[in-house]
Amino acid sequence: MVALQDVTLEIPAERFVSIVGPSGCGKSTLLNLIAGLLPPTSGQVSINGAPVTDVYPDLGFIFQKDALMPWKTVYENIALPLVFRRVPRAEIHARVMRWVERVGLTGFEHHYPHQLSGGMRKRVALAQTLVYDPSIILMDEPFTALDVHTRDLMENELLRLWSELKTTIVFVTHDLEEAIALSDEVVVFTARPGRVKAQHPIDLPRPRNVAEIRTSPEFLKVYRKIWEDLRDEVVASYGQQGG
Amino acid sequence: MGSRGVDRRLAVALQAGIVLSVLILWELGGRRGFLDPFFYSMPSRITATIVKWTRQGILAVDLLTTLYEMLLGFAIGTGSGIVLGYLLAVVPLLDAVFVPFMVLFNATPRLVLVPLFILWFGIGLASKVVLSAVIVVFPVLFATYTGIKEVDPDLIARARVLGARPVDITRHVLLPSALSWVFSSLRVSVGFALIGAVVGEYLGANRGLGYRIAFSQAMFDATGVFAGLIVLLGVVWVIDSLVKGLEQRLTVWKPASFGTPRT
Repeated sequence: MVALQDVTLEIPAERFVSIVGPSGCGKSTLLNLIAGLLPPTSGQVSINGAPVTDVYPDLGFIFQKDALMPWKTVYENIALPLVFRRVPRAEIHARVMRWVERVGLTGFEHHYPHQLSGGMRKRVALAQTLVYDPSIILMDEPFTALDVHTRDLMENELLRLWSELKTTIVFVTHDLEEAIALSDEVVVFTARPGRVKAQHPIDLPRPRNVAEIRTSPEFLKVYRKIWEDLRDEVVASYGQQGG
Repeated sequence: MGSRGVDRRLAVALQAGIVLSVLILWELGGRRGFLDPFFYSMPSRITATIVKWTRQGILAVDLLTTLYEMLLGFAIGTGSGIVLGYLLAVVPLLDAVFVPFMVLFNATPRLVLVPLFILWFGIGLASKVVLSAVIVVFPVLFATYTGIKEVDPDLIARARVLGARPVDITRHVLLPSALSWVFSSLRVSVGFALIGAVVGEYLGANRGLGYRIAFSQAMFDATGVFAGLIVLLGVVWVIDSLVKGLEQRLTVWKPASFGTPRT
């Protein structure tokens, strides 16, 4: 089955771009293609002008599942990408401890993933990605499994970190509110096979608080406009699934 | 372990009561003539025999021999099980060709090989170690194989994204997953290793607990057989407690075996 077809999408550096679309529209496939985890059947993905042929080293990818190594502690999990890069031990220690502190996990360095809450595991995954300073971060519905309050908290924290780091973020979600609240630009995908239906710049002022911004009139205006595009696709996708 | 809602002290007290009652009934039965001591012996005689063996130094030799064979067999069996299991899991051709053989070997009672092992390796240490290793190797092999095959593909994808080379994936994802399966079958494998050593001794040896039991049986000495069995029970009990503690430490990252509450 074809997940994506004729997708042409350019993502400028240092932007926060969200991709929304009905479930099964190939959003996750797109991220796997960008990351180089999946070779495209046709077409190509380029990062900074060079085609992606293998897993791209300067890229972070946060999955919907935490995908932390269950047999490694918080510290060991965050250290992992540095261990893979053969970074000297002393430097690993300094960088890991800095990120442990920055994501608020001080005191939990020696806990195992199963001892942490969902929100804390997300922080570990975030620190594990940010510790090697990738210039692009892909996020595949990272906060879907969290409760509403933890989710707001994590989204604000993500925005804060992003404003300091200025990396490019490609954020996949099926939640339009989340997409608008976080992004510089929202890309709407069609139902399967996924294509780009529309691209909407979001000109809401920053810094933003994701919980507060949702009630502002500008937000609602943007929301209504994008929902016009998205609604038809959600309906089409619903029809595909046979009810 | 233990069932929910049952007081552990009560359970232990009942267990002690059962053991004590059996011993008393056994002893009385022997003395009153209900149980012929020639066939069934008596706890007092068994104790005396164990004390006698200890004084003569036989017990220490037998015990050390059996433990040595067991440990050696366990180490060799586990080591080769991990290596073979790993190779079968990661090399598709080996998997396709050899796994059916492994399943077949695993289903064969390995004890029938003892005569061959004694023929090939003599009645000394080697034949017991080989038997022990051959019994241990299969559960370890299958645990390693399964641990690698069943590893969450997301963890491998995640490791790749984080910059892992194939050797890193083996070291940080595949092996820990495989070892977690090996560790959770540690008690079974250690038990198997002991069975291998003792049965090997029973069928042909000149020392060891299995040999002591076989020797006593040949002398029509039921007391000797029971004394050997009791010592063996004690060994099993001690080893199993040690391995249980070790297993809990090695699998500390697993949700089920972890005692402290979630944070």
